[in-house]
Amino acid sequence: MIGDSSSREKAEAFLLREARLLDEAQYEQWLALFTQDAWYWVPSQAGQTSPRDTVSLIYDDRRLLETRVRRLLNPSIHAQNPPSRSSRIVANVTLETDRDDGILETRSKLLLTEYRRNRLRTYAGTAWHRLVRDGKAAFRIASKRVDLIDCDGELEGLVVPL
Amino acid sequence: MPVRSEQAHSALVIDDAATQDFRVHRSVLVDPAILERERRAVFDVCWLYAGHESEIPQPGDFRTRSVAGRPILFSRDSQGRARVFLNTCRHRGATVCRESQGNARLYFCFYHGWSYNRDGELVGVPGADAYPAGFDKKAHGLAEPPRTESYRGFVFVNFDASAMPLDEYLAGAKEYIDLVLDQSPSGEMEIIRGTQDYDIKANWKLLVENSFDDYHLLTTHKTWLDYLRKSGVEMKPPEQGHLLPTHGVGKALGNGHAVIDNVNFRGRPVARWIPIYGEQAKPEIERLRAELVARLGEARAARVADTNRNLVIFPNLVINDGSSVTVRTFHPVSADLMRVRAWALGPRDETPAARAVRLDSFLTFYGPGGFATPDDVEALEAVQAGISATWREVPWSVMTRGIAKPGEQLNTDELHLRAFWKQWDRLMNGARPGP
Repeated sequence: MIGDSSSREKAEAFLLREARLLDEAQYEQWLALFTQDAWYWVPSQAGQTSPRDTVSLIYDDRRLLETRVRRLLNPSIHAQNPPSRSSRIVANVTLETDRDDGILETRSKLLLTEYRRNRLRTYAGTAWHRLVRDGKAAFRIASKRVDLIDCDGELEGLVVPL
Repeated sequence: MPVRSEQAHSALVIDDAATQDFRVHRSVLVDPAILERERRAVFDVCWLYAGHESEIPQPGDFRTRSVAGRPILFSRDSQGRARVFLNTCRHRGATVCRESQGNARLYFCFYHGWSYNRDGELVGVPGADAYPAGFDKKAHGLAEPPRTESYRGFVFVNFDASAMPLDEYLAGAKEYIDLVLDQSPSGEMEIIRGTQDYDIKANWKLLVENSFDDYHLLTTHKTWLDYLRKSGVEMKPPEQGHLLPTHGVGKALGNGHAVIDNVNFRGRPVARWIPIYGEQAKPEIERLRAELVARLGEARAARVADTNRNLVIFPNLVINDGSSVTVRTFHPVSADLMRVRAWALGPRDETPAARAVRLDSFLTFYGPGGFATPDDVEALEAVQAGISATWREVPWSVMTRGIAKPGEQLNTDELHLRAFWKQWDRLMNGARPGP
């Protein structure tokens, strides 16, 4: 333990930093938060247990995550012309596991409001992060799952990362 | 109450072979009165996709969904037959089944407690003795659309009792459905669990056009093509007269159905490997290829694996058999809003390794989080935004690509789009599907 801040507080600070990078559209820095074998998963069904027997909304391995970020930075991403502005509230952070080998799992609530083309859209859900300790103070994301409350509802584009 | 059309048009589609003119009046994408006419003249006389047999394998399995505005119960009955019922209680009309999917022994209407069995028969009426002697439970089963028929697992309904049989209606589209099914060793394909549901703020017919329009690929999907290129997928410079790296044609298939039929360059989880799938997937793809050749012979195996196709079954079913297979249907909510539902289709008994390649290919292109669909949605919404307030000043959309060519037309031409619009125009002028 470093200083007097608990693992939960450090993890929360990390999640807030992640949200801030996304709010500020710093996608390359966001990508740098992930490990080389990371995945990012947005299921299409409530309680979905596998991305391999059911269609998801998003299931990126590291290579596809890089592609997603490259696409976000590509001027030809028409779905981001004009770009979105987004505002994330990350709250109710709890530490689900805190293992001796440096792996933590957090559960947090996400409320994302996206503004684009004179429309406001809201995404709400639960995020599950598996974090690995990276040095003394920082973490890296080994996996991130976001369960949207309307994952099986009528969605609009999920172009901006959750 | 019928909505009055703002302006009566002498023609909504101009198709003049003599002057090589083909135009679509933009009011048909905007005018609520035209949508009301479409509901009767198109959706109520054509075969509409209800679901796939594989979604409901066991007796009592059901899915609820909406087809042409009607809530339906797509279910398997006690005899093992796929059935479609109108999801409305015969007593007061409440939707009887209010879950999106599941398995039921009885469909129980919670309002007054009427219940129906898997065959749609009314089996429970609380306080039945209060009804007069002439009340016949047998006459109060769940209603069905006038016609339900299927072709190789795809179940369709028709709200016109005198419609031509589905088999005839599908006409030349059957050949292409067969090609899709030939990729499965068992000859059977299944809907993979889960759906992608999304709204597009655009007229439903724009998604018909977009679903098999290869002319938009280079510009709308530049980021997706960049992804393929960067992943090592070979894209040769187009040959003379072509816009895309390989040859592909547009074909009309009868009754408004049409297809683009392309030599593949984008990879096929069925037996055409591209670097995106990764070296580890190569042996599996080679094994699939060998199975295809052994079962179908070299020529048919090449036809199945080395070509891809985007098929529109008039009016609103799309089967795109390319870098994955998607089944997509969409219904108008209003003239400028549609609701889309898409499924992934894969061979039954596919290995986990092949299924993983298929799902990755599906997700990287399709859906709200894909690398292509959001740009299609953007394009369609841009069209709707562009025309909704200008159609009086700029009334026509030109659709003449390829019209002067003798013989074959390319996938980047518009013969297949014109085939859709010609049928749409025929039906809107009172014709019924058929010769």
